[in-house]
Amino acid sequence: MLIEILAIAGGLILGVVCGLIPGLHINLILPFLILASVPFSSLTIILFVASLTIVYTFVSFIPSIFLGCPDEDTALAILPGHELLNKGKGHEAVMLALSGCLAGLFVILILIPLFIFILPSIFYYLKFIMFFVLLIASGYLILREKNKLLSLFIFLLAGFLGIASLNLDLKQSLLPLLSGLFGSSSLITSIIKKQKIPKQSLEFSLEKKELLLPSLASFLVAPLCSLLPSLGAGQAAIIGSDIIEEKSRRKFLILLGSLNTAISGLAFVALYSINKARTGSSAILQQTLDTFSFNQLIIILATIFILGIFSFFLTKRISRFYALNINKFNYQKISLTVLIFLSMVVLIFSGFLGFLVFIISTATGLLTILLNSRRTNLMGSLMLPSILLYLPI
Amino acid sequence: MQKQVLLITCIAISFLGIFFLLILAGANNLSVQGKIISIKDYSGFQIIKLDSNKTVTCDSCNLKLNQTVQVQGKIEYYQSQVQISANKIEIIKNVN
Repeated sequence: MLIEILAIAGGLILGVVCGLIPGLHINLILPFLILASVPFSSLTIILFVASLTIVYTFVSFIPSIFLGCPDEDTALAILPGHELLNKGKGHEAVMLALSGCLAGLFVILILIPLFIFILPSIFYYLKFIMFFVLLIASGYLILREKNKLLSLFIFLLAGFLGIASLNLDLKQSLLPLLSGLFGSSSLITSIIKKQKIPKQSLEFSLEKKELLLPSLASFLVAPLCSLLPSLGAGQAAIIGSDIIEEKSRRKFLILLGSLNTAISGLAFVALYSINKARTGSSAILQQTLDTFSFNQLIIILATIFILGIFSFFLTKRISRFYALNINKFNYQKISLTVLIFLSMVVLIFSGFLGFLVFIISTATGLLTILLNSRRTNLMGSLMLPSILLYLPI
Repeated sequence: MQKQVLLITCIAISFLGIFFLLILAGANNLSVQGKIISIKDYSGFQIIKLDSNKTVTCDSCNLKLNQTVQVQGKIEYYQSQVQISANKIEIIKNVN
């Protein structure tokens, strides 16, 4: 019993550490855990992986919003999150994402029967639908902007960058790509503009109806992205944003939180129902466990649900700490430190070629900011390769 | 002025960089054809050996022994061994 409690505590601590360190996605450390898992029972491994995954999902919104440094799942949170931070509402931005994360837990619960009883039989056909879903979502992304030509240009530029990066023999190819497009470009902008962060408010209010539409979008999109390969929270958010109210930053943050949690949790259900790993965490379980039973799935989901609620309050506390203290520091120096750290992470995990991708992605991200185009167009870096992958020929 | 310099620098790095990466990616992609002589299946993730002495990996591709396939994919190194991670697989000759 003690070892199981230690596994949960270990997952929780590591989840907080990974979540708070800019650029350090759990997928980067999970492969090392395969070797460390050998002497432990399957229950211990399950508890550790489940607690690590869910705590990370919640906490990772903090560096995205307060430091402008996202990981591959929260890349899009930087956009509305940073805007709210500049208005002194960084804590509110985190709370909106966390509320979405909580809603995501319920989305998982609702979708479990669908995943177990219906989706395995229609899984094969989803691949054909996905091409059209991605195409429509990308078309809508480009057409809703005032300068459609510029939007298309940025979308295609990022798309070609994505195609090139994903076809290189590169470890963790999404790390340099998304860190450059969304993270370092924002950090450099903050440094150039000598950005000062205003005093942050701790006020937060949320009407229940605000949760409804993002949760519905998450309910509709999360299953597709949890089941099909090469699709993650980024693509899901772009598809989902077509459903929620346009230009609503609050709802977009809720949507991102909800999608991240739902996709993380449903990946375990997909592992049980179709025996396919769609996230780093579920891949680790697939590799370390001989079989994955229904009882083990229930243990994972219970851990996710209980620790999800715990993570909500834990992340809320950390967010309060950041909100109260961030304006006491020189934000330029913070941005520069984070930029240097992020560059080192890319260099260590993706090598020299990865660093080259990081520099080119940063230039592309900066170009988008300088041309005043919406940075969601940069999601072409994931959407275009996915469209080509699901091209029905 | 400073903004214009930055803009031109970004355009140059972005365009030339993407062009260079596309060339690198192209060189890292390969197309091979051959008959499947062995398949190892790990829960849908298949490691396939072709009679042309090439190793191909793919996820959810459901291939069978003795099929002749045309595979397009990127070259990866796994434990110092070259293998092709399939992006596109075309079955040229099927088996019953």
